[in-house]
Formats: sequence, structure tokens, C-alpha cells
Amino acid sequence: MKTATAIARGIQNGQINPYDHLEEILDRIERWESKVNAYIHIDEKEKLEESLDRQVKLKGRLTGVIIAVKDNISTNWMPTTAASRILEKYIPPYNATVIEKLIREGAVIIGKTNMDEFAMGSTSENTLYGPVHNPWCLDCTAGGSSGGSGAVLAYGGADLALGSDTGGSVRLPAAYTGTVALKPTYGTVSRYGLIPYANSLEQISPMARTVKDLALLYNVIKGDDSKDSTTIGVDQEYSVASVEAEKTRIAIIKELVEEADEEILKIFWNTVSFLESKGFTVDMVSIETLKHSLPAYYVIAMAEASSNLARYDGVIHGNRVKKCRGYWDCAAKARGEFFGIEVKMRILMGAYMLMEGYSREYYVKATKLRRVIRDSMIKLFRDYQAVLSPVSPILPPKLGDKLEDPVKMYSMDVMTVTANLAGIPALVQPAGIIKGFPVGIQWMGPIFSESRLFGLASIVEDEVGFMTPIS
Amino acid sequence: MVGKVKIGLEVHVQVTGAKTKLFCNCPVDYRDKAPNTNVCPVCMGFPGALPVVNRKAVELAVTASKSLNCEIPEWLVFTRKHYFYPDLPKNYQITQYKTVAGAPVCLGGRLDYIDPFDWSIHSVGLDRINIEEDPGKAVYERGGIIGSNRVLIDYNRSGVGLLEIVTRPELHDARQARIAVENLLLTLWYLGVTDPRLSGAFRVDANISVEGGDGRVELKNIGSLIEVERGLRYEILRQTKIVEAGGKIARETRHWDAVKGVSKATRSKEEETDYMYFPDPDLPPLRVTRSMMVKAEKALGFTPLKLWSDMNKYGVDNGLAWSIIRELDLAKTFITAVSIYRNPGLIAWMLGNVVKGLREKKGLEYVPLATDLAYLAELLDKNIVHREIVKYLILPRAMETGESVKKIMEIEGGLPRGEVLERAVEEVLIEESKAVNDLLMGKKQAFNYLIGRVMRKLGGKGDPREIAEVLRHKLKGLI
Repeated sequence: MKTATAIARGIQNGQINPYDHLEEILDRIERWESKVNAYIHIDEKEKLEESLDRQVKLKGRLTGVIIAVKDNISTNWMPTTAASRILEKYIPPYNATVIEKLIREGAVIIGKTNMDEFAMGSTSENTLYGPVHNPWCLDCTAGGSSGGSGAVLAYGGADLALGSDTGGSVRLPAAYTGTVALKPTYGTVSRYGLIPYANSLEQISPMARTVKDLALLYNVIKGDDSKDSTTIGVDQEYSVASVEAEKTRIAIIKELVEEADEEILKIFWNTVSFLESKGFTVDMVSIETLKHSLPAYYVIAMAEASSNLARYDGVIHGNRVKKCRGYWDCAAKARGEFFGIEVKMRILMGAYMLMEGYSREYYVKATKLRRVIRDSMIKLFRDYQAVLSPVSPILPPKLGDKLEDPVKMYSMDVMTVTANLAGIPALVQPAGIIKGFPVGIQWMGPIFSESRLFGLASIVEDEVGFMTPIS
Repeated sequence: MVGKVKIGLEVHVQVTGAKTKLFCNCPVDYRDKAPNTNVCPVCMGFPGALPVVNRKAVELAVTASKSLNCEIPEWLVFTRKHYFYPDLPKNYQITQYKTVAGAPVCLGGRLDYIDPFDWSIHSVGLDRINIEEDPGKAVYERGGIIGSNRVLIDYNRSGVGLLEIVTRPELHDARQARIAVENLLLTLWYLGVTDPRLSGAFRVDANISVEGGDGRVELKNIGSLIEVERGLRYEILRQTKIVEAGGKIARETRHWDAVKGVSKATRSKEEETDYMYFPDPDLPPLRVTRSMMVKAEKALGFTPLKLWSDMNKYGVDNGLAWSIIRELDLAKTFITAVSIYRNPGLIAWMLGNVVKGLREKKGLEYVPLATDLAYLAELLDKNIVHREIVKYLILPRAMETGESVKKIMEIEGGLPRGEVLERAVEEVLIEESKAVNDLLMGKKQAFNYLIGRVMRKLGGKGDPREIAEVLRHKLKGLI
């Protein structure tokens, strides 16, 4: 498989025929999709070729590059269902800002990827369209909620992909599928058109197979947007920075390591040794408040979710049931019938946490904790240029394993949610293979430190190489 | 015997001065548009569409708050208020709330209002003002949400900015409440916040309690100034009767039915709703900037109260002053005309008496040019024309033809010129020998008197300047 960077260059200088390239990708989809189930919707071949006809003329940074998009990002010519029955067949009347940006740069959006319903889940199993299978191990989870995007990249069903990350939703799939993903600094990528789960935590996030490709996609989608008040007016180009080992101090946070399984830690400490051998200083630190990251995260996420999902009552938004009487009955029946169980659970818990009398105990307390966690990370970055951690405490579980116990599933996010609470960037890349599974590591840095994270990741990438499940 | 009545008001005013809706670029002007044509993904609450605060609306809200003596916070926070209702596209309303993480645009404050009953200034305290979005408009099959299977919803109004202005329960009768609302609307009209003449530009809810009743009733759905007074009168009477009969007042929400002229208890359980307030994560706190405050400060130079006090200083009759103040265009014209020719009394008379009378009679929105009024005031002042001519001839003609006063006086009605004019001047010079003598003795005002006599002879017609020229010519060498 070629990198997206190489494909864009090859198409530009005429060495790659974009139609052949598309054909190649469609072949891989044909070969894998029935086993992996990563796509919810793939555009017809004729439509994709027509799109190529238009796009190759654009001479953009992504001309002819094939991109898969998570199904919670609005596209006005393809369904955008968030993998929910309540939005089944919904086609938005507008495009997300990131979609407009991709189109402007000559990209071809091939289809929409499978995910946990409304991005609520860590295994891509809570979906109307059936679970996503991990190309590395077909009866294992590909991680979630952007599992479809991760799996597609792993088997080569697209050159690049977009996901969304609310608490680790692109990083867990990246770790489980041997791909790379960046949860950007909050406010650098427009959320306009992203079907919201937890607005204050999530970002549309680039996913790729190499660090350079990741930087390429990030540079296209980032930027201030007058349609999203939470985007930040800082607009800079990011690059794969060259990092001087001697001037770079890396922190390992005890609380983000101690939960991990043995196999995960083996790869992790190997990576640490490698970095030390390169001349980096690596220190172990402790931030006790991070023990509260997970509950703080889930309280805030569920509270926001219960509010965001209130609009699906079958009047303007969401499908309607056939038999009902009066507004409240119709709304209740539509929500009862068309939301999945995980979504209902989070709506109920979120509503509970916002209720008068409980709000102070849960929601308000969680926002205070969030502030404390953010401040402690800011303080840490006064002394350290980056934090290194594992991504998931465990190897990809078998499909079905985590569905039984939601708390077990929630704890898969223990290492990733801190970046969302603090609004800082976090990059995940593969660092090794154990028992046939790829294992990822996570880099975190202060806000706007993406270039440095790309640089650090490329040092590891140069050592480890790319990974692919295709033998 | 029933004791004191306590009334608190909740006035919702559309911020039509913002031109576009509160969080998107759809126009605020939704009236007369086909249903659901004045909408976009944001005001329809489409998944993923995001609100962006309309700066102009916030500026106007800050200006309003400043003029109402509010405490304005440094940071404005927007809050989600949740309730399921078909006219609310997101099933939450973006509003402001004072206890959860932040403050509304105004806390406290005071409305000072002119009371035309005794011509004095009264005050009512404000609890707060918050900025929020208007929902869509729903029409139910059977009149109400309960029992109706079908509902037609028009979202053209959805997302228009509202100011919710809440007074303390410090008003004591229906008339006073109406006057307070009228003054409030005038103030907001002057400040450019709203145009209260537009249908649906404001709605009033009122809390009413009578002493001895032990209960407070919220009266909803009052859509005009007259209905404020009617609705409150009815509700006070209703409660008084109950208390006089030894009963107690149930704490409830009642709906004002303007057609039948009665209030009815509503069956909705809205009061029990937990709104689950929390700050909207799509809208970062907005700083009230120095430039917003400066703009607000500037706008305060033009308010009904300021004009009232200026007119009092000028010695303008209270009745005339109030009738001008109640109409924004008359008020603006007054100020401009006075700045051109400083005779506030005459200008107030023309606007408050003549123009107002003409408008009422003909039902037209006529307002003369300020320059014309200044011109007429000068002629009146110099006794060149008389009030009757202005009232019955010049201004009615100007209203009917749309021509400027100058043009009417110069051309309209075959303005006497040449021989006719010369003959009239000659006759006046003969008839008014005393005035001519005075003029020759150096009494300058006699000249204006002569111009006036010539005009009167010509039946109120004639251009005073031309007459003056002919007069000068005839008296050449003498003056």
C-alpha cells in the first residue's frame, strides 16, 4: 500500500492513474468488506469516477486521494446516520466544514464508516449495521467508536480517514488496527456538521497509516471556522518537526501506566528504552487527580449527550413511529424504539446528572475536576515537552466480550480521556506487535504542539515501520 | 375589603434591530413569508449545525441593560433550557440563567417611566434581563397540544433573538402595568432594539396576587398594550371576588383569551418541569467589551426619558410632549427640527397637535421633513404665516401631495406673482400706513408684519421671500 502523500504526488505528476488507484481500493474493499463490515455506505463506482473527473482538475493537496468518513460527519449527498436507527436514511441538507475542505483540496470521499451509535462506545459494536471486525483478528473488536475508519485504513479500503474523538474514539481504533490517529487540540478543527455527542470534549480527528499522512490530512481540515464559535483564532501550518532528543524531556504518568496489562506494558517499555537510547530524558511522574479523569469524563459526556439527543423526537429530526397519539406519545415511542440501549442508558444517566439537586453533585463537580485536571497537565508541560503512555489497558477484546459489562467497556478509555478533558492534542501510533496484535502508544503535548508530536512519532515510526494485517 | 395588588411582569421583546436571528444569518423579518422558508440548518436545529452569537443582538441587549440601570456582567454565558415541545427544534432553548455558571446580561436594574396620569416619573425594579431564542410557531388541530393529533409548525420565527425582561412585583394596578410596558417598549424602540409596531414583536406574561388571596397566578399570552390592561383588570377582579367571598387563590398558570375577554386555567404541567440547565458547550462565554459599553453609552443620548426631560426644560406642554414621545418618527423629527430652528414650543405644537391630528384622522404614517418644520416655525415666529394656515392649509396639503412645504408655498395653488403680487403689496402699503411709518422709523419687525399682511391678503398663499423682495423694491430708497 502506498502512502497518501505518495499517491497525491503521483497523481499530480502523472505517475499514478487516479482511476487505477480507485480501482485498486475498490478491489480491496471487495476482498475485505464482507468480513470486516467497516463501511455503512460506499458510493457507487460510477459516482466515484464522476467525482474523480471533477476532483483531478482541482490540483489540491489531496487530488485523487480516497478518503473514508465516519458516519457522524454530515455529507449532503450520502446518508449520515451516526449508526442509529433514529437517523436511518437521513441525508443532511448541508456539508460539514471539514467535508467542504476535503472537496476543495481535490479529495474523493468514498463512503461512510461504521461506528458505535452516536459515537457512544469503545468497540464499534453498538451499531445498527452490525459490529466492525478487526482486520488483524476477525473475531476481535477494532476499537471504537471510530472502528470503521480504523479498520478501513488497516486493510487499505481508503488512503485516509476521518473519525471523531470524544474520549479516545480515534485513538483506540488506531491502537487496535495498527494505524495512526490524532485527537487535535480542542478548537483547531471545526465541529460544524459533526453530529454531536459531547460538544466540549470532541474533535473531528484525522486518521492515517503514517505520521506524514496524518499531518497532511490534519493541515487540510484544521483552521478557524466562523460557523463554529469554539474554533480558536490561531491558524498555523503544522509539520513533522525535527525534535532534538537532548532538549526533550518526556514524562510518563504513573496513573496512566499502572492499569495496563503485561503485553501492553512490554511494548510500552521497549519504546521507552528505544527513546532513551536516542538520548531522550524519560521521567516517571504522578498526577493523582488523573484517577478521577474517567468518572469526570463520563459525567460530562453523558450530560451533554442527553441534551444533544433531545432533538430526536420525530418532529423535524429522527424517524417517526407509525402508530402514536399526540406529541409526547409520538416522541417517546420514536425514542424508545429507535435509540439503542447504550444510547438510552447514557441519555438517562446524563439527564439524571443535570437534574436540579443532582447537578451540583455530579455535573458541576465534574466540571470542577476537569479544571483541576487541565491545570495539572498545564503545570506538567512546564517541565516536560511531551507525555508518553499506553493507549488501551488491554489488547483488542473479542467481539461481544465488552457488551456484557458497560463499566468494563468504559474503563477501556482510562488512558485517553485526559486529553479530551484538558483539550490537549494526543497522537496514537503503533509501537509493536505482540501475539499477532498491533499495540499502540500515545503521545500527549501542550495545546498546539501537534508539530512536535508528529516529530516524536516519526522517530518511533522510523524504528518500528508501518504495520499491515495483509500478509 | 381587598388590600394591595402586586403585579410582576415578564416581557418578551424580539430584537428585530439585530436584522438577523440570534444564532444564524436568517433575517428577523419572517412576517408574510411562506411557512418554513425563513430557516437554515442552525435555526432548524439540524444535527451538527452550531449556533454563533449575533454580535449586534448582544450589543443591543447591553445597550438596553445599560439604559435600564442594570448590573452588567463582564462575561455573558448562554445556557440550555430543556423541555420537549414540538415548536422547539432542538428541544432545548438557548437562554441565560442566573444560578448556573454565569449571569444573564442584566441583573437588578430599574425601569423609570413617565406616567401620563400625573405627569410624574415612577419606577419599577427589575429582577433581570436575559437573551434567548424565540421558538417556532405551532398551530394545533384542536387548539392546544393536549388532545391534538396534528400540529402545523412554522419555524420562520425560530431563533429570532428575544430579550426577556422580568420586573419585580412592584406594580399595583392594571393601568400602571400598561404604562410601564408602554414606556419599556418605547425605550427599546428608541434604542433600536425592537420595533413594537410589528405584530408579535412583544408578548407579556404577568404574575398577579391580591392581598389575602395567598396565591400567585401567572397570566400568559398577552399580545398588546390594551390587552395588558384588560387582562390584568379581569384577573384582579376575578381574584378579588374570590377573596371577598372568603376563598383562596390557587397558584396556577392561566391563559388570557383576548377574544372572549377571560382568563382560563391551563392544563399544561409545565411548572413541574426540571429544565436541566447547563451552559451551552457550543457557545464560549462572551466578553462584554469596552467598545460595547461605549456604544451603549452613546445610545443613551436618545431615550424617551431624556427627550421628556429636554422638553420639560424647553417648557413644552406635557400633553404635546407625551404625544410626540409615543411616536419614534415624531420624536426624531422633533429633535432634528429643533436643532435647525430653536423654537421647541412651535415645533412641538406642529408635531403633537397638527401632524398627530392629521395622522389620526387619515390613518397615515405621515411625518413632515424636519427642515420644513423648522422653516414653518421660523415663519410662524416672525408672524409671516399664522397657525391656522399651517394647520388647515399647509401641512394637510403637504401630507396629501407629499410635496415639501416650501414647494407648496412657492408653487402650489397658482402662487400670486407679478401683477397680482405687486397689486397686493401696493394695497397693503396704503392700508398699513402706520406700519410703514414704523418701518421708516427703524422698527425692523414691522417689515415682517407687512409680509404677513400681504400673505393674508393673498389668502395665505405666496412665498414670503418673494413678497419681501417686492416690498423692498417698492420701498426702495426709503428703507
